[in-house]
Amino acid sequence: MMAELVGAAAGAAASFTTALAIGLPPIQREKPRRRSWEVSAAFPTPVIGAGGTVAVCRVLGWKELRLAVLVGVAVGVASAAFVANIERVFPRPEPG
Amino acid sequence: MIALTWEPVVELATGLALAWLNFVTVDILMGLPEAPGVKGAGAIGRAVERRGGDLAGGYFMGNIVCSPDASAGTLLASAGYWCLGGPHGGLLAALAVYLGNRLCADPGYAGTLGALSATALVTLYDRVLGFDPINFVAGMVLAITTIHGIDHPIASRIIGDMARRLGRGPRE
Amino acid sequence: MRPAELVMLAVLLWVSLRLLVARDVYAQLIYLNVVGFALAGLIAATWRTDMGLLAALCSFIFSTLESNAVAYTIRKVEEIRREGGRR
Repeated sequence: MMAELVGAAAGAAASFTTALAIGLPPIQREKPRRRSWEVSAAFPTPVIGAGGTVAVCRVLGWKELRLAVLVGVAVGVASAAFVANIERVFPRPEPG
Repeated sequence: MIALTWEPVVELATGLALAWLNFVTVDILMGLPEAPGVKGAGAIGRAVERRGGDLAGGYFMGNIVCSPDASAGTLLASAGYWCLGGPHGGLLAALAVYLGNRLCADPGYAGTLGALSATALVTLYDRVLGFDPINFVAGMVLAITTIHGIDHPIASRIIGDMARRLGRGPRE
Repeated sequence: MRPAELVMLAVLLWVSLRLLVARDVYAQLIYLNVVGFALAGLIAATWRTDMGLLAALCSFIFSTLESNAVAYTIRKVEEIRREGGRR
């Protein structure tokens, strides 16, 4: 359990930093933020990074700390890329 | 054979209280009573109002039915904690709730935040209080029943009142 | 059966009865939402494994998606009927 948690933390951190690196804003700029359809490095990127790491670790059955962190970094980078292109997979609804 | 003891009652009551506070607070702060997120939520809200309820409370209930919100996040995060044996289960559930949100035309703040805060709460529930996490899951089912399963107009008025106090009254 | 499972089963049965006797279809949709919660809780409680969690997640999220579609369609049909009446 601890290994997966550390891996998830690594996933969240990796996704946050990669998202900043590829140019996503650190936090939503549109206000009120709770209604904004913008994506940022703070949301939803770390959620996808952490959750994705847990999912991949579970599927592969990798419970060791170093492997979990490796998965975390890989999934983190992938989730930042996914979030940058999220409109292609889950387009936002038209207004009204 | 279920023994008639106090422990499950205390654990279930605590689970109910924590789950209720978590999902109601997060959902109200994230703006569920303010406006319907989708057409179906608006129809449900107005139907509750027609039966003597409050429109903001009705929108709250309609938004819960039409998209995974903090109530779904609380249920699934605690189920994740139970099934996987730790908070990483809650993180996996938060991912699933976010994807569900995007599929339901919802930006996803309420569901995800509710799942993450519920993960923290159920971890405390298990590690600090020493209660069985399944009672948190059942507590969440009881919590949603208090709003959606007993009396819709009365529940909507209670939620509407809380919403206005927190500055999240209806905008439409 | 654990007390928690008994509680979730009791909620499921209670809300199903209220669903069957409710007059307003939108009220039925609200009761149906509770059914989704209780069902997902029971699935996760019974199968304390990864697959049990996956089943509970899929069951709940897809049931919400369906309720969303149903509520939208019922409302849309009402609006169309109203428009048709005016012509």
